Amino acid sequence: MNTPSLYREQNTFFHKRMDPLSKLLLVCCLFIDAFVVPTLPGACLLALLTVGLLYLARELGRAVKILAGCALLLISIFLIQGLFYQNNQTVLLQVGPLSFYREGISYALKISLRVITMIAAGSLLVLTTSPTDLLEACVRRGVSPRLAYMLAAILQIIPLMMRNAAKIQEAQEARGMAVRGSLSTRFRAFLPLLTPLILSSFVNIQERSMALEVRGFSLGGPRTFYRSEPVYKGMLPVRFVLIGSTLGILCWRLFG
Amino acid sequence: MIRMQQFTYRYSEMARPALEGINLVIEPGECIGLLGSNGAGKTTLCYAIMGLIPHFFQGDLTGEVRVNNQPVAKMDLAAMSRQVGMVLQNAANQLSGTKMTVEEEIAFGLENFAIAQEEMRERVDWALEILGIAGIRKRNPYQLSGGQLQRVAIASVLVLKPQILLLDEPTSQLDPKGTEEVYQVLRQLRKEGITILLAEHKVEMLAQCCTRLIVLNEGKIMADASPHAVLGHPSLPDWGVEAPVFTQAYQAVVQPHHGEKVPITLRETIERLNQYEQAYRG
Amino acid sequence: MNKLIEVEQVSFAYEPGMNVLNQLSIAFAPGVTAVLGENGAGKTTLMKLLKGLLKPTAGRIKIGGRDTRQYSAAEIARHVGMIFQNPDEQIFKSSVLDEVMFGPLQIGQSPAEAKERALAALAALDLSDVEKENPYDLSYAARKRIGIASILAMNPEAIIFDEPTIAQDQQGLRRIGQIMSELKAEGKTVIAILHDMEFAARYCERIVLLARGGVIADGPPALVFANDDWLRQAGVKAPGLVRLGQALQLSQTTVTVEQFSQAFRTEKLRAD
Repeated sequence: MNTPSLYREQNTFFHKRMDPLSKLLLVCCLFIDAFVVPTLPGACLLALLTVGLLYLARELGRAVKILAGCALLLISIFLIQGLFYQNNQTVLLQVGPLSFYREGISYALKISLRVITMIAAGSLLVLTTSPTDLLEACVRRGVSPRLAYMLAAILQIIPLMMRNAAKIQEAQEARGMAVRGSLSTRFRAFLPLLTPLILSSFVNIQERSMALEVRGFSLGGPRTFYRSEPVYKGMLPVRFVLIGSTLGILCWRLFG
Repeated sequence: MIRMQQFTYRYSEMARPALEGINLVIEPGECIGLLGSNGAGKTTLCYAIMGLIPHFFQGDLTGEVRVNNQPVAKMDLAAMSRQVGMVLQNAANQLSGTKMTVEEEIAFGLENFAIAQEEMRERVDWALEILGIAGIRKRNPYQLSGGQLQRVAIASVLVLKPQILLLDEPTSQLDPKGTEEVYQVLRQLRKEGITILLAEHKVEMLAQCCTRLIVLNEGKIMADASPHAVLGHPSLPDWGVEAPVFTQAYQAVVQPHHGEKVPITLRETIERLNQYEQAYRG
Repeated sequence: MNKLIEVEQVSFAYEPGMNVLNQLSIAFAPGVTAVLGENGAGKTTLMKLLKGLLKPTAGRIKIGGRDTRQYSAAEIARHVGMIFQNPDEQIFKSSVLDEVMFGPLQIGQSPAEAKERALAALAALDLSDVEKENPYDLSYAARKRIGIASILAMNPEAIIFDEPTIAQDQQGLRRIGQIMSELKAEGKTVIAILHDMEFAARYCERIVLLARGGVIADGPPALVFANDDWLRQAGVKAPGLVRLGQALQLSQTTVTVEQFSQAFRTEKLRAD
């Protein structure tokens, strides 16, 4: 059985020596940068930078899988913008009755690079940080436990769904449904999986929240922690650089 | 310590009340077994004492539950959790789901209670030890078997040291050895003065452990008396409960008259059947 | 006798070098067999192998004479039905009737036929009045019975019950016991993994004790439960009546109340 977390222990700077909040800050900065960097080369550079960070964290392989999962979104961006972008003028490619325009494609490229940067940045956080560490770090800094719990729950949705999917497929197989083998079999097995998958994710939520109450989750006031907070060295300059560079880019965009 | 007066409760989507006209007084240090078929109202009774009814569930309620002389309806759940602990039927749902190891999971409630780290470690060690799961303290809670999970669930509540402990079928996933171990823990807790309410189908275990048994059937209390009186009651099967197999064996051999005190444990049955044999021969 | 399922020298490891099963050999023929052992003895792994959800690391399993490696798990489902220990891992439809019809439809029955089978299976498990409900609105014990109905509706030749007695009340236990007896009367091969010794003693005609991935004992209840040594090795406790009979020094091993009462009367109370 899998742990409902995409986090995997590894010995890299991002896994071991960067604290969860700095990683969260890094992701936030990359998100902001992705939105404010105006030019195509800039967006390209940013996407490359983020992917480079994933490479350094030795998580590029798993991140590519996540990105591949979003391929449908990216393709649809290209289709819609290429065909219907409002400033479309120059025809780049004619496929039957459909014309793809240069302006739309270049706009789509920019949006896609933004999306890739954001997904890659998110993956960097999720793949290198134990949800517990992140949650505890937030609560220690005064974030309400309820909010932190929701954040952790969101981080766990994908792995939990993957786990449930495996279970449901096993159950379907045990009842005579073919789920393995050729691509078409797998595809046909995918649709009957969706409803139970979504249903099962909502089931037991009530009992779970009941259990949290019974264990004093909504008690107000101070909290203590079973684990002592790990000490991370040299994170202050990293945070300064992150905030500084993002502020710099913002100023350049606003006043430059 | 716990007092229920004319307590009737109907879940908002149900046609008939889950509990009806419940009158009940539980004194400190009692260990009470709750018997009845599925749907008889055992779990609902636990929810009512815990305060999950009315604070968590919507429905129609009349009558009153008091814990330590405080009306449960007027206290909030967080405050209730300092006095009453409840182990849910489905152990997997008892987990917070945010912790990466068993020991951290067990400490979750203590963190909420703001217990100092030093004491927290002592209590977690104690709970791990008493449930015999110290060996899996570093394991991920999601990788445990049903039996291990059930012990972690019990430990996660026990560690809060509640005065009142409610357990809803705490051994359903355990093998006989594991069940025996959990009951040893319960006997130990009884000695420490903790009040225990135990919903359970395993009558043999209740017969050994409890000071008092309550039988629920369709939301009403059918019997509330000593284990001997309840398990020897001729109407027991009508309430959806079977007597321990020892009692049945004794009844089949001796055919006792109504009102006779029947044996309910192995040891008692051996003794009584030996006596019966001697009397028969002599 | 026709041996539907044959396990030959099977070993299995989830991780290399950590054998959960060790060269285990056993055959299952029509009738009701209980497989007993401690948590972690390898019971559930054995069942998943029988079902084709796992494949042996070494040795082979034959179903109806054919090696399971040649079947997919979906094909095996026509012959061997498995009722999961945790119903929530088995149930995936939003109405009870749909859930129970799923299997029959998958193995190629017409909707009308599938519905007829499903309704019969629901009736057999006291579930007729909840056929339209969402399984997750029902109790855990009811969901366990839905899991059983969903396999019965497929009418396989062999049925594996993984811990069917968990969370059942007296009525539920009797129902499940009755169903096993009926399946046996129909000539089916029934295998039950159990923790409940009383239930095993009452409803099963053959007891298999498993420990550390191997078979320790295999025989009728009166024989297996009488041997303290085997029971100790398997980490299980004899049913209450066996222990009572031993303490009273009865010469026979009895596993039902009627048998016990009969034995006690003839051995202890005979006029002499």
